[in-house]
Amino acid sequence: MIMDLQLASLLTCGFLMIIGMFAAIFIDNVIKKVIGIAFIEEGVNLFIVTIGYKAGGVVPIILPEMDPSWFASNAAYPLPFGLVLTSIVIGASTLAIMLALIMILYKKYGTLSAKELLKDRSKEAVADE
Amino acid sequence: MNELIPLMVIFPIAAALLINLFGFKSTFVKYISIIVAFIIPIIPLASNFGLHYFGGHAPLESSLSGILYHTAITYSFTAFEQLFIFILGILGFFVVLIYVNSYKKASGPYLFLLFMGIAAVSALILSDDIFHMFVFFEIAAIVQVGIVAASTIKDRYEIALKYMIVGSIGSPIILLGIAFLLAIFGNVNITDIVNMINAGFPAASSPVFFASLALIFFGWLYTAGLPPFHTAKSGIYSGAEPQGAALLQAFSVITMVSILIAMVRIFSGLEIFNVILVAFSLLAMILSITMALVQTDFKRMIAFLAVGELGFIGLGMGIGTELSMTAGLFQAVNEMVITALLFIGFGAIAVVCKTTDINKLGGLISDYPKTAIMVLIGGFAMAGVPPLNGFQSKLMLVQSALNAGYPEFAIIIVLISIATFVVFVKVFYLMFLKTKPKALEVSGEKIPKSTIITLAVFLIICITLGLFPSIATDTISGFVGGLL
Amino acid sequence: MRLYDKLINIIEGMKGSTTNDSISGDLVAELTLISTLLMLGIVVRHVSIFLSIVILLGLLLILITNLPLMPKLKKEQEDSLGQMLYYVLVTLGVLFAAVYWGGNFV
Repeated sequence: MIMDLQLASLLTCGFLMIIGMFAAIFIDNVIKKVIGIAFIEEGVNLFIVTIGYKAGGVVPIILPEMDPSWFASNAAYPLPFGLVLTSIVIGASTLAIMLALIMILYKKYGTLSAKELLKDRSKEAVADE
Repeated sequence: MNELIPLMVIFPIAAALLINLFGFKSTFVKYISIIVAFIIPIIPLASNFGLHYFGGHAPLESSLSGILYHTAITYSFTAFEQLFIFILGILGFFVVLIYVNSYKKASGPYLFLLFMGIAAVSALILSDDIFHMFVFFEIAAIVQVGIVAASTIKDRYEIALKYMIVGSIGSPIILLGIAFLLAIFGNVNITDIVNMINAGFPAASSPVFFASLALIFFGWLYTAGLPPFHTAKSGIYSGAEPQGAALLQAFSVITMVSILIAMVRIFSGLEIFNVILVAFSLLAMILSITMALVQTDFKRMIAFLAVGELGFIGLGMGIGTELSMTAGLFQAVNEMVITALLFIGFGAIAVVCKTTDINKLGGLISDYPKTAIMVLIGGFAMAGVPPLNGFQSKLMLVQSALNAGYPEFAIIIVLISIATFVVFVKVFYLMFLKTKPKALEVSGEKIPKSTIITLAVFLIICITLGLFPSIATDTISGFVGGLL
Repeated sequence: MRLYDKLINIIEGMKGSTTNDSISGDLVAELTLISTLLMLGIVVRHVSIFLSIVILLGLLLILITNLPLMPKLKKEQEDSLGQMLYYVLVTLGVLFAAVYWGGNFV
C-alpha cells in the first residue's frame, strides 16, 4: 500500500470540501452550487466514517463465538457509523428542499443564474413603483 | 413523573404528523391544533425535574478511570429548561390561535411546521448530546425555511433559498466541529466530554480542540444569525408571516442559547472562546442596530433589532461572571416575549394596510389605538425603559460589565439601547403619529380580537417579569451556578 | 474647508435618504457606529495600552477620511447571495485562523 488508508480518506474528504466550497461560492449556476453543497456534506460524512476506521478491524457486531476482550480490541468504532447515517438523511432532505425551491424559481424567472435569481430585490421594488 | 420529559418532544412531533395527515379537513385541524397548542405548555409544568435516558440505558462506569459514560441519548430537565419550554409553549399557543383565527382555511402543512419547530427547539434545549442537538438544529433550520416559503410575502422563495444556501455552508461546518470532538473524545455526550476534560484528558489542549471550537462557533453564528449571517437571518424574519416570524425568532433564541450553553460547558477552559464570543456579539449589536436605523421596511427594522438583541445574550455569556451570564440568559427570556409582541403588533398593521414601507404609512393611531399603545409599551420594553422586563435584564448586564471591570461594554450597551429606542420611536412616529399620506387607504378592516388578546397577554408577561424579575432570575442564576 | 461645509457634504453624500426622518435615522446610525467603534478601540487597553492608542489613532484617521460610513456599510450588507457567501467565507477563514493559531496566545 502506498499510503495509509485513513490518511488517504482524510485527504479525500479535505479535497471534497474544498471543491464543494469553491463550487458553492464561485459557480453562478444554482444547481451547480447545490451540487457543491452536496460535496461539502459528503466530505464531512466521509470524515466521520474515517474516524471510526480501524486498520484490520472487524465489523462491530459481536457474535456468540467471539471472545469479548478480543472483540473489544479488534472491532471498529461503531458510533461514527451510526451518526453518519443520520447525517446522510439530513443532507438528502436539505438537498431536496433546495432543489424544490430552485424549481419554483426557475418557473418564475426562467433562469438558473444565481446573480439573477438571488440578487438584492429591495431596490428593484422601489424602481417599479 | 419523569416519563413526561421525552413527551415534550414526542408529543408535538406526533401531533404535527397527525395534523399533516388530516390537513384536508380544515375545521378538524383547527380544533386539534388549538388543543395540542394548549397542552404543550402544560407538559413542562407537570413534569418532574430529572434525567431521561432513551432506551433505558443508564450510564456505565468505566473500570479504568472511574468516569461515568452515558451510553444513551440523555435529556436533562431542570427549572431552567422548564422556564424556556414553558415560554415557548405560551408563544406557540398564541401563534397557533392567531393563525387559526385569521385564516378561513387552516393549512395542515403550515401547522405541521409550527409544531415540528416547537418539538425541535425543545429537544435542543433538553438534550445533553451534541450530535442529537445537531440533528434537531437541522430540523429547526428546515422548519424555518418552510415557514418562510409558506408565507404570502412576495419574494419568499428567493429569501428561503438564500438562507438555505448560506446555511448549507454553516451546517456541515458545525458537523465537522462535532466530528472533531468525536475524534478527540470518542464520545458525543457533553457531560462525558466535560468530565474527561476535567479529568485532565491530554488531547483537550491540542490544536484539534481549538479547531473544533472554531468550527462549532462558526456553526453557532449561523444558528443565531450573528454576523455574517445577520442579513440572511433578518431576511427570514421579514419574509415570514407576522405570527410565523414571532415564533421563528423564539426558535432562533432557544437554538442559540442551547448551543451556546453546550459550548460554554465544553470550551470555557479556552480563553479565546470568551474573546471571540464577546467580539462577535458586539459586532452583531453594532451592525444590526445601524442597519435597522437605515431601513425603510418596518418589518425588516424589527428583524434587524431582533438579531441585534441576540448580541446582548452573547455579550452576557462572554463576560463570564455569574451575574453577567444570568443577565444574558434573562435577556434571552425577555427577548423571546418582547420580539414576538413587536412582530405580531406591527405585523397586524402590515396586514391591514397591505404595505410594509414606512414612508407610505401614517396617522394610524386614530384607527388602531389599542394596538398602537400596546406596541409602544412593547418597544419601551425592548429599548430598556423601566419598569419593563428589558430594563431589568439590561440593567443587570450593565452592572455585571462594570463589576467585571469592563466599563466600555457597559457604555456600548447603553449606546445600543439608545439607538434601539431611536429606531423604535422613528417607526412609531412614522406609522402612528405622522399625518396620514393621501395615498394610504385604510380598508377599515379590524385587527382580529385574537391578535389584541395575544398582545395583551405578552404585555402582562413583560410587566410581570419587569416588576418581579426574581421569578426568572432565581431559576437562571441557580442554573448558571451549576454551569460555572 | 469649514466644518459646516463638510457636514453638509456628508449629509448630501447620503444618497437614498430623501425625507427628514430617514436623514435623522442615518445620522443616528452614523453616530452610533462611530462612538461604538471608538469604544471598541478603547477595549483593546485590556491587552496593551500602547496598542490601544495606535488602534484609536488609526481608527480616527480611517473614520475621518471615510465619512459618511453608513452608505458604504449598507452597500456591503446587501441582500444578494454572492455578497453574503463572500462574507461567510471570509469570516470562516478569519475565525479559524484566529482560533487555531491565536488560541494559545490569549
